[in-house]
Amino acid sequence: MNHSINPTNPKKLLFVLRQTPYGNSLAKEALDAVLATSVYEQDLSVLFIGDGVFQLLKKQDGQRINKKNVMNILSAFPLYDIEQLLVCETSLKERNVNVNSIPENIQVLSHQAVQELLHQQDHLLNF
Amino acid sequence: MTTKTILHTVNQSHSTSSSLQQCLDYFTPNDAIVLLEDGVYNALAYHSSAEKLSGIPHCYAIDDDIKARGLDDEDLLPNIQRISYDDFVNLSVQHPLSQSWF
Repeated sequence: MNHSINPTNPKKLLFVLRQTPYGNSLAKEALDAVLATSVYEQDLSVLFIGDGVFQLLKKQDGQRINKKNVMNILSAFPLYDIEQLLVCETSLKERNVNVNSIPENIQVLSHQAVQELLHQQDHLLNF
Repeated sequence: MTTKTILHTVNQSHSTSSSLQQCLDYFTPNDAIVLLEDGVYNALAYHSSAEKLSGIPHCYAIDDDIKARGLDDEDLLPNIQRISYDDFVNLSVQHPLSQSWF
């Protein structure tokens, strides 16, 4: 018996992540929510803007402060078919974060592209 | 490709948080902004973000939040329309997308 969900009309869901990785629990909760939502096979994307870009730094090590490493969770996303990972170029530049400091599978979008992306969605989920 | 309008909500004062600034960074014409809770402090006519907000036609502030904070008699930006929570509900229905900046 086939119990899988087969959406014929997938919704475009965009998670907008603006939090630093370890200042509060929102960053990790957001990533957990993304993983949970991926079960429903909708058209999922994850966008990092503002301080959220700090979640993408490759050299982070949450274990030093007894927290689960956020980058470990992010690295697992492709295993769950979560492949649309996006970051705002302006947010990176404002914080002087070099594109080499973040994983290669994160797509860098111009500010205008981000604005367009926001308007194309069916739902925006803010964390 | 259909583009929709976004209803942005800001609930922090611009001096407490970057929420207002980020909202304005990603705001596009035809979108709307609702200032609620502490966000109504951004409606005051004489603060550093006032110039950016004053150019926005669809800008609203929750009247109860203004009155609760004692701002009723203060100079507010003239383009900001004071609304009730019921009006807020109607706005949410009008705009297919909502983005909360908290």
